Amino acid sequence: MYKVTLNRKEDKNDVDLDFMQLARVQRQNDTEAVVTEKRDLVDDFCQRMLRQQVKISDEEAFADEIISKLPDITPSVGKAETKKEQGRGISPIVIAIRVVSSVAAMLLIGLFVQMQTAETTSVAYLNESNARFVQMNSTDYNKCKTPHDFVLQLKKHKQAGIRLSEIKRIF
Amino acid sequence: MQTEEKDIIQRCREGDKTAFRVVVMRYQRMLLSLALKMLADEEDAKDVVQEAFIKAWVNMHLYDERSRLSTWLYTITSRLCLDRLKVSKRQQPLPEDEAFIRQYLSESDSQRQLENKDFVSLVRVFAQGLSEKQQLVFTLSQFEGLDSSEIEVITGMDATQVKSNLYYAKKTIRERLTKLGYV
Repeated sequence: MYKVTLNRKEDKNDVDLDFMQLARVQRQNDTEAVVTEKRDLVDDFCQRMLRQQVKISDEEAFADEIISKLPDITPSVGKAETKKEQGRGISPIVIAIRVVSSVAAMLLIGLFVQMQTAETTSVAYLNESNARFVQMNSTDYNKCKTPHDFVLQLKKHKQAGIRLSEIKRIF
Repeated sequence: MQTEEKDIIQRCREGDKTAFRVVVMRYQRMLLSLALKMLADEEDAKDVVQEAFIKAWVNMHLYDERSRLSTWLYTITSRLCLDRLKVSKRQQPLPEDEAFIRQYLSESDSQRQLENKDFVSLVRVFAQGLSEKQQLVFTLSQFEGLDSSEIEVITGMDATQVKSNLYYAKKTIRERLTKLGYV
């Protein structure tokens, strides 16, 4: 596109011409065409396009169709939907796995504690001078029916040197 | 942001569809313009505009009022257009597309109003040889008249990338215009 000053006998004016138009004018004997500016093709083309607008045949109907498709939201639901949209929601399967894992862990801990508890029992007995406490396996402790059994068990648990006569009371 | 628009945004966040209709009426043509010039298909463009508004509605609480609402809507629409272009094959130009453009470019009466189908022809021809990003930057800059800083926000590109994409897009289109006899 060219900015051209057209000089004629009677007047002078500035016009925008494309190449073909310029060539035509330059062939006219009564006109002097002076090119003052050559514009960039793309800029020129885009200037024309910027004056153009797309059309929506029925703007009200177009908007109504969009509104009819909007989900109902409240601020909290909107946020939840957004989390879901962003993939940060927790699926039911994941929740179920987590619950089962937690329960299993608790059971294992309970079992372990029980085993630990079953492993030893503090047994106290009184002798003439004082009370002593020894650790004894609960299973073995439960086998004891008589004080003699208890002594045998204490020996088994390396508590040798305890005499039956020493044991006044076991608890 | 004007008080009136702030009030509309707040009502939208509270679930007021009547308020959101104001937003739709205000910006639907703007978004359709972008989508049509990216996708070169009127039905696809309308789909994208609907999807963009629905996304905006659901995510209105995420909208940062420090930027313009138009910028945010352009951002959503641009991303949807790019997603579509990745999935579907670009529209190839038809012989009648080129014929129309030659005729349009040769017209001295540049005031003629184009129809939507004319935009489709233009995009089919001129988008050939452009990457999606070049096409997006060129469309936002040259057809929608946005400045560089706004394009950076919409596209997520830095200033150098915007400049570079625009340069190569213009170069390709200049060559095409020359071949079509536009001088």
